[in-house]
Amino acid sequence: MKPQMYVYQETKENQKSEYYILHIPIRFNQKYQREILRLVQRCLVSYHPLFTSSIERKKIFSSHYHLTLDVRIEKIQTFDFLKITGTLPYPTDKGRRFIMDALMAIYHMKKEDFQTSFFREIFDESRKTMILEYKQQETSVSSRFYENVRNVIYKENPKYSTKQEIIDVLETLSYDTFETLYSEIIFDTNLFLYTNSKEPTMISEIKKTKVDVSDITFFDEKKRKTHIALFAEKENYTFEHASFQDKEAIQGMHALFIPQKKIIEKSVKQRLAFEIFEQCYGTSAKSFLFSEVREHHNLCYSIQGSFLNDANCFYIQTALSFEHYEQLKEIICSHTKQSFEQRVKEILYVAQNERIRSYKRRMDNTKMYLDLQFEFYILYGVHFNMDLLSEIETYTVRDIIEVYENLDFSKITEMKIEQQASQKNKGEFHDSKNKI
Amino acid sequence: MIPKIKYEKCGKTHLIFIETTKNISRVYRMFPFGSSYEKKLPFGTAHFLEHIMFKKEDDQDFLMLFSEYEADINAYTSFDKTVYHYQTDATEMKHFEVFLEMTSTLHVTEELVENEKKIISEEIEMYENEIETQQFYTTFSNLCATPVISHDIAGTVESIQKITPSVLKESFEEYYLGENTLLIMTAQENFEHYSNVVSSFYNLLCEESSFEIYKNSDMHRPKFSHAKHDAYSASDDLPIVQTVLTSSFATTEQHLFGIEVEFNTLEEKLLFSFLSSLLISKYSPVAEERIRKSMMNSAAMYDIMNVDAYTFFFFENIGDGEYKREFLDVIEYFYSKTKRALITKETFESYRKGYLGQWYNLLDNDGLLGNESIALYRQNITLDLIFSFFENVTYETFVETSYNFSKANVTTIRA
Repeated sequence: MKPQMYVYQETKENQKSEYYILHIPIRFNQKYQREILRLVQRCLVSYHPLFTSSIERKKIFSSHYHLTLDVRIEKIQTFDFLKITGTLPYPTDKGRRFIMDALMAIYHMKKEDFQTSFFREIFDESRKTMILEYKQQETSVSSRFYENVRNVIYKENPKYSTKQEIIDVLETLSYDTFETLYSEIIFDTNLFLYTNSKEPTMISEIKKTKVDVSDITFFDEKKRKTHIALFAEKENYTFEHASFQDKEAIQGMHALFIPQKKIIEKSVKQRLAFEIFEQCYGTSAKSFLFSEVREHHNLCYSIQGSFLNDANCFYIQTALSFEHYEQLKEIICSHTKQSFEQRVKEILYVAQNERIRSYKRRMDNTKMYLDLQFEFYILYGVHFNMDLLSEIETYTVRDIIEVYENLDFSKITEMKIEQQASQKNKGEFHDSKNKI
Repeated sequence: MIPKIKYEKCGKTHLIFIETTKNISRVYRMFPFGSSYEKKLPFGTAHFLEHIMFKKEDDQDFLMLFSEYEADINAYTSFDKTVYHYQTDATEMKHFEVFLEMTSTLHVTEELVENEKKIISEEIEMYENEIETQQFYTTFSNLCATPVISHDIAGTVESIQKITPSVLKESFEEYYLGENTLLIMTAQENFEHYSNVVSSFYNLLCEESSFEIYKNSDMHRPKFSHAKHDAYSASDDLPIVQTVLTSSFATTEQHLFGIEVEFNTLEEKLLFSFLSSLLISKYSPVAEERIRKSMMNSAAMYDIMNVDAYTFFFFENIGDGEYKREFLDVIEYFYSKTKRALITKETFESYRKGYLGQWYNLLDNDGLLGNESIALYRQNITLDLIFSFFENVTYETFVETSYNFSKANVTTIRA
């Protein structure tokens, strides 16, 4: 089936660079496919002729050294995408065509491409580098803690792999296994190109590549919902109390999960209500968590609370002394609806404005603005604009209290680092000197 | 708005206004007071003062107050400076007046200091929890000939216990009312209004004060006076001091290499930054060599930290084996003109364009522009100077320029 490319163009004044962002929706069917795709991404970005300073690129595109290309695997809530970005400060038609070829490079890769000596040469080294990167993360206390937390949350997800499992697989990964796992990743045939280029020639450059092009249809709800049904992942997880031993931890780390009583259907209205609630409860300087836990009780330096999108719960995380765990939980659980309502009355206006400014900051940055447009289209089928932004001002105290009332504080789950006889990581100083 | 205290004298403030078309305007205020100025002070004083500056009388807090003025305020302390900054989409100037008041008035009591010690102790322990942070500070403190950077910016749980209201007051008067403070604004309009507010505010704040105003690229400022320290030149015979940190969780060795460099001219400094950037890029002959030698069991990154007149180059490497040879390969490009000539003129030209493009892209990003302008200001560099230098610099200059190294250090985390 031929791919279909939807193009979204929006240009603002005083732009100095052209941005092209291609989203390719992907579906992973089994464990380790995400890492396999990361491996391919790594090989491409580091060594593929289109992405590096190779002789081939120099010959063809001698005047476009200053363009940058980037490939990432991203998640918007439960949807996975391969996101490829090209940025060109001084665009020409040749440069635009080059960008389109580069954006489509992964999509057009065939089994034969993986069997070239070039790819085989870099495959093994990229695999080793990935293993080392995973191992490096194990040295950090916070990485170890959040890895443990993730392992508890997602243990029922058949596609989730722990870091150790990934390391084990990568260490023994044969080329044949790699090919099989990669061939079973599903790439959607609907591709989304977002750009701030308004050049009419851009479309004709795209047509010279191997895709059919149509204008993007923002409100084709039927098609969008079909896509969501196909690519959405499981969102409900059961939580368990857990504590982890870490003899190197000098300070404790605490994660608290407050489940929702009922699952609220995802919509723009729900999203904005959640975001204003987050400001009031756990993000703003005037929020409950910041003012009570940090400023009033001086228990920690940093504390945040936000909704965990794919798990339908509110999530609080902080680093604090081991002896403060109970006091933190007590402050959170003893907080009443009446006192929170009073706080919301005082700070709703502030919270709304903070959210508006946050969106305006994203709108000020061309690349972030294009990302915002794609995110709102794929999640809600709407165009993000100033009218939508002004809706934030219409939320009432009642709307925010409804979000609060839907949280079940009696079923709070905690995960934490256990207190151990900790030892500080003070280095031994070796005064040996090696001369160059 | 009337400042509550009037001082006898305030040092010169430089005010830079950068016009923008964005929704959000930003204001930064920089004081030349960071952790490297604490030789005679309890470690962590500059960072502690930054926290206290947010306190207001009657248990009020500027953090809270700003959110009511539709602005987001924050601050950071580094080795050589403290920066307060806010961003807003509001057009009225109330927040700017309050910002000036906040950064010009110290309100401190014993109780405030004792409460803040608890919060900052938690902050310090949060960083102490991470061995990579210790690796970074260990490398830094081993590099400095006289320890410009001998300790963590936040100090230690023990050192901050020695901080008192009088220590904070003295530091405030010396550095916040001293010379070479800086105000940077990126905003759509209101240049006249901003400068009038600053002017009238300073007239009320100090009996004697002065400030200079620059707009956009009109930034030919007087030279900033650096705190110099002793260094020894060892470019022909550079010893590498090795330090080992241990972690029972380490499953692979992690090395952080650092070298300290002192520059005779600004051109040297700019070309050093350029060469560092090139060496860790995909254009790097080191990267190509790594692939050829199948030495991909390492990852490289770099960072340039400018502290006063010095520059520090960092190179991170994971995995054992060839790590040291790879680092030596990299720094040989700084040492040897012959080696540097292996980077072809074509590669130099390509990367020069790309590097210039990165600087031009900064003009699109207001969030980065303000912070980058402060860092450049601390080094007597303007964006215009960077643009014109890299538009014109030749391959021959790139190859011929040599650098003066002071020290080198590698800090390893191993099991």
